[in-house]
Amino acid sequence: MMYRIVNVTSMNVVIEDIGLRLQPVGGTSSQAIVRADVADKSVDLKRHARWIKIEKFEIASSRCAIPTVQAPVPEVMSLPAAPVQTPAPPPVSAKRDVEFENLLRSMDAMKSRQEDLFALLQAAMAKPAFAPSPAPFHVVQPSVAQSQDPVILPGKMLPESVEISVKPCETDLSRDDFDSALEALRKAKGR
Amino acid sequence: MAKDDKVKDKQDKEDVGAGLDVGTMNFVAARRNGGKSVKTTRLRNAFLDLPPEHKRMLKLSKTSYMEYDGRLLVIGDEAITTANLFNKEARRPMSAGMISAGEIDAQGVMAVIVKHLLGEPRAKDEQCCFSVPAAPVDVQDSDTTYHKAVLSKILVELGYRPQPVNEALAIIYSECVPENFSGLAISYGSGMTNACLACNAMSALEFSLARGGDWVDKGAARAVGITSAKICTIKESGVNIVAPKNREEEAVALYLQALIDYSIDNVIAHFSKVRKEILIPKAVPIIVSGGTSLPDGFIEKFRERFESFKGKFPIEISEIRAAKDPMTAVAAGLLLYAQMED
Repeated sequence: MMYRIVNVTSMNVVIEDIGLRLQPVGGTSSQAIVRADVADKSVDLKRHARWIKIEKFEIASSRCAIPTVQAPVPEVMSLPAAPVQTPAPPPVSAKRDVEFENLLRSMDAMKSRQEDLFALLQAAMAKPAFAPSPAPFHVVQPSVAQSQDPVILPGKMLPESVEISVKPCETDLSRDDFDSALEALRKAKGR
Repeated sequence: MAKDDKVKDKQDKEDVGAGLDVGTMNFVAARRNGGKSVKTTRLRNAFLDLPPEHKRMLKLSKTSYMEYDGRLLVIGDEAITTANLFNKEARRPMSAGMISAGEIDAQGVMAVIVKHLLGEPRAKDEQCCFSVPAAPVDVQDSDTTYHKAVLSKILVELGYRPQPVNEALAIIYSECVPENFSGLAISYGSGMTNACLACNAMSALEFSLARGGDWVDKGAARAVGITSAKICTIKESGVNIVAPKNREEEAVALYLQALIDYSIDNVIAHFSKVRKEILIPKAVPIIVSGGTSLPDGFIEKFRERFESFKGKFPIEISEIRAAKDPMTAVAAGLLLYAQMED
């Protein structure tokens, strides 16, 4: 069982614990295919469930859609009142048998190649596309009004190991009215 | 506790709370500095890459810079002057009032600027009110969610309790005390123009326009064939927009007038739509503020243009005045709000 995970928002969505980054809807990497057992273990996937669409599908059924080939069955004719000789089934020629066998063999070969590719794909997907570092991304929920879209920010905003020399322009304003303004604002706001 | 200690403790409590004006062109922080003094610190919200070998020169010239990942970034006002020197455009962490989507170093540079303007929190989870624009009415699919989240995250990381406040409403807090915080504030910023109509400290209507000083700079630069950074320098070095002296100043004056017309036109259009829903009991002042309103003659030009729209104006206006200090009015209003909350 495989899951197709599709980002339905206009923001990037990162499913951190399985190392998945989905571009906004319409982007070239807005969807990804993940093995069901990997996806089922993901806590972040459940957390972001409202931002993504998950479609389940079976690789085997879509991959091995081999038509069933049966030998031609003679038509059963209704029995007439008088017993008559039942016509014998038409004989299948030897040449046709060989063609049919060849076709089955080539289909088996194709199937086995696909299985090899599938095994390779499974092995690749067991390992995340990029290894999650301790806290590379997480959803911020500050004490501010938020829209419905998820906001995913880097774990650390302030760059580390930076040499900084900053000299801001400083001004001292004399605000005699500051305390009275503060009092007036408290009053206006009913505090 | 000794009497002196009690006085100091009271003073320390009075000093808790910070205001941070997050502007496209400048970051301004405001803090109480003991007694009746309010200290504001400002840093230009711009940066420029330089080859690492220039670090020694930057140290000697006491220029603000940061170095990380083997890269040297000049930050602040010097980024603009250096850009002019090399005929380049300075890089800007923000555009049109919000964090630049395509500027990969934006968040790191902004975090460094905020840290140095605010310093350490004076109390645990000290309240810091920061300015946010209203959603622009002339740009589709633009919202401030990401911008607010990034700023909040930076402030939380620095140990503050963030609180977003509308930029134009902050001007009402700092400039409309005599009118009991009622008025119409128009903040002409670099990336945007923000407007807020407030009655008794309550915001009745707010919106923003995606035009500001940068729009003026770009338009004037295109008109006379020089860089936006040069136009910005000309504009900030003292242009009188009612008496321009040369071709560049003429272009700046024309674009500023177009910006004033555009803002008044939009105020009329948007306030007219909700005229029936908002009852303003008496005439209110218009407060004109923001860095783009600094050129000489701006308020005169605003009054002149307002007269030509006066018949259409949806609310009664008592007077039109400039903020006491257009560069720090937002930060001072945010500080007031932060102190009130604390």
